[in-house]
Amino acid sequence: MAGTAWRSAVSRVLGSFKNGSPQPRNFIREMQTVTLIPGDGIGPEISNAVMKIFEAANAPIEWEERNVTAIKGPGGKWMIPPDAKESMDRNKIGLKGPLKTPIAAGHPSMNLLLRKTFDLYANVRPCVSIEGYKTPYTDVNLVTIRENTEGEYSGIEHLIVDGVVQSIKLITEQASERIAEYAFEYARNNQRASVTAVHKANIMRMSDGLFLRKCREAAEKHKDVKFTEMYLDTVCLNMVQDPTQFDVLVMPNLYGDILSDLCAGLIGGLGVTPSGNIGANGVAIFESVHGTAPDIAGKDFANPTALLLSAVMMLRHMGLHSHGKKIETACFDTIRDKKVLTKDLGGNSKCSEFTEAICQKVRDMD
Amino acid sequence: MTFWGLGGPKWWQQASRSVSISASLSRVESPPARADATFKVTMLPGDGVGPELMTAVKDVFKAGDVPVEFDEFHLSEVQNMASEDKLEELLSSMKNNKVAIKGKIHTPMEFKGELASYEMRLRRKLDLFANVVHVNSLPGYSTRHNNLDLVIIREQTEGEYSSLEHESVPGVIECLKIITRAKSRRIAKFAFDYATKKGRNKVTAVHKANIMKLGDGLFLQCCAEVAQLYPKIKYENIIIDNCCMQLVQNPYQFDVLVMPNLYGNIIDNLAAGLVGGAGVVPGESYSAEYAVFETGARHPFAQAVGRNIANPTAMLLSAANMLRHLNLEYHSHMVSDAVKRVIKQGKVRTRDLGGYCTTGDFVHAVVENLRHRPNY
Repeated sequence: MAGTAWRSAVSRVLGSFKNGSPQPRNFIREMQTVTLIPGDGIGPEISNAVMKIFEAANAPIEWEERNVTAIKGPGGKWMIPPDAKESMDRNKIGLKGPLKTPIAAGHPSMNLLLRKTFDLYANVRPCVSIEGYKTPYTDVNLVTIRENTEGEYSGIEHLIVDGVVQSIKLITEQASERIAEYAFEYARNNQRASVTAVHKANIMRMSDGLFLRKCREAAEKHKDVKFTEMYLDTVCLNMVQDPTQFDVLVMPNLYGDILSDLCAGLIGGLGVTPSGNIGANGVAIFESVHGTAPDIAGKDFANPTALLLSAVMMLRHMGLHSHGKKIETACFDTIRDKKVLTKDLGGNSKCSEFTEAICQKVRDMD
Repeated sequence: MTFWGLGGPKWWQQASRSVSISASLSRVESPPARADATFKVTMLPGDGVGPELMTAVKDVFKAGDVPVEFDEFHLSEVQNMASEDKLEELLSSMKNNKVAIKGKIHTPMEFKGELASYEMRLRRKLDLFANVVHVNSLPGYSTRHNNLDLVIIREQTEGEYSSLEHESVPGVIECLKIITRAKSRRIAKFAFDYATKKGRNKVTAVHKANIMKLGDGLFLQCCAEVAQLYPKIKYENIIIDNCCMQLVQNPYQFDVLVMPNLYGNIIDNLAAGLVGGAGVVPGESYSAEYAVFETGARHPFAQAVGRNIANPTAMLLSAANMLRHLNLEYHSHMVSDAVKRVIKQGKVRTRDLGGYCTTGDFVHAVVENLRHRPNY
């Protein structure tokens, strides 16, 4: 399953939690290198914003910029450039901006390539209501963990006869076991009280039945985290009425896609939602899930919040909790003050001004 | 209007109808008195709170002198009252009556033999291909989004619910999702016909064709083809995850939504949650010959059985829709107006809407409001 690097990362995080407050460790001054993939469209602007804020916060992060535009490798298979792959394998942690998939490029989507290359099996999206960005739903605080490699998105489709199409949904024991284990580890590491498995085992009795069985087995091994199971339709029904009743949700691919976007809608949309992809061998890529917004690219209008919060998630994953908390608090305070906000948050300022305001707040905290 | 010469049963029912006709002269004509005065409707209480909701419907109909008689059937997988014979009996009753009202037949997660549940088999045998859910905000009960008026049309015989699963190798399970051109066209045509009949402006198709290129791609293609036959109705399409996000941020941009099976299940429940939950949204299923009326979000709600707390609003509104389908316009308005008035007054509310009343209290309040019919 996961390599030793992942386990050491987990134990690092665990270690810092066991002591209550994050303790300064001996190697805190050691710079950790992170692969940065700026992306397309507004990607470079928001990546610069994040780098500036990290500098202001004195975060011990060194950035290695790479480009992942697909190239044709030997044998005609599309793959990401070898230097990007080598950098990721070395650093294990990555931060990615939005990538565009040109329609007639001939190669599959970049996100799909990255997923396949690094076996990114879990997509984690914490959804927390942002004070200062009002939505009809307050007090949302949940995490959706979605299996990202199989399920309905296996891409196996056939035209049986003219007018009849069949799509195959694949559920395997290994993938279900892996995601269930990860969900409980995550709950434990982040002090979440319960994990809920979301499924439709009353209709897809064998496939979701297998997924559910694996979740139940993982629950047995982690008795300190409460486990419940709920049908997908019941979750949707209750989510829009009272989202506070949910904590960590784990589910197969399609349901995860829908529910994670639903939860993003509850807190204000994709422009403020962080997201992380966990892979085998300790690889983790954190990303912003919004699009490349080509219409505002280069005009300094972009909102870096999503990428910033993903970067904070990354800091937490790496065990740098104090820095993560500092940057996150600065970001939320800036949004709450409402003095300098980008257009999509309801204000009139430019991206650079917003970034500067956050940097100022971060410096003030020291 | 003479009533002696008509023979048939229940002269006092004719009498009450003649009275009601005069009362409604300025409004809607109630149907002319028939030889067999009552309509027969198949009733299937189902599991969970189904029986309680059906009792509520029967009480309200009795109090309102609604000329409908119910043929009850008890088919239940969890209570071991299910068998092929019962299913056949139920089907023959349906073929006679053509109209049914039903609760949810719960599907246990363990399966013995057949993968398809009784509810799915019933749907397939009657070919109830279209499920229509009316999502309307209730006046007097405010939620985060008020004044919603959506219609959700869902294809419910194929798609992900085809019950075709197999374990090729231990630990690897495949589940087939089937999409056919014929059924996609049929549901698309149903959606546009419905929109035309009810005077709606826009139909939005919900899909995930960027990932399931062949399957949902075919569905989308059929919708686009049918859309061209209805130039007056605007046609759009949206991806399911974006649709869910938009529904919680700005649901007013949608009018009629049409989609395959699984997405329909998700969106039905999501939209029901937007206006108040599973207790307030009515729905119905149509085939070319039959109509089955039920709640919009189908849950047996087993934890409420026997506690008298279920909200009968959804079932009562669905029963009112059934009366309209039977052309009993007057009675339909009577029932739905009474229910809406009780909700608007806000004094009698069940638990799910924030009140403390029991199902019985709510039904009593509706019955009270039936007697005070306004003279328009």
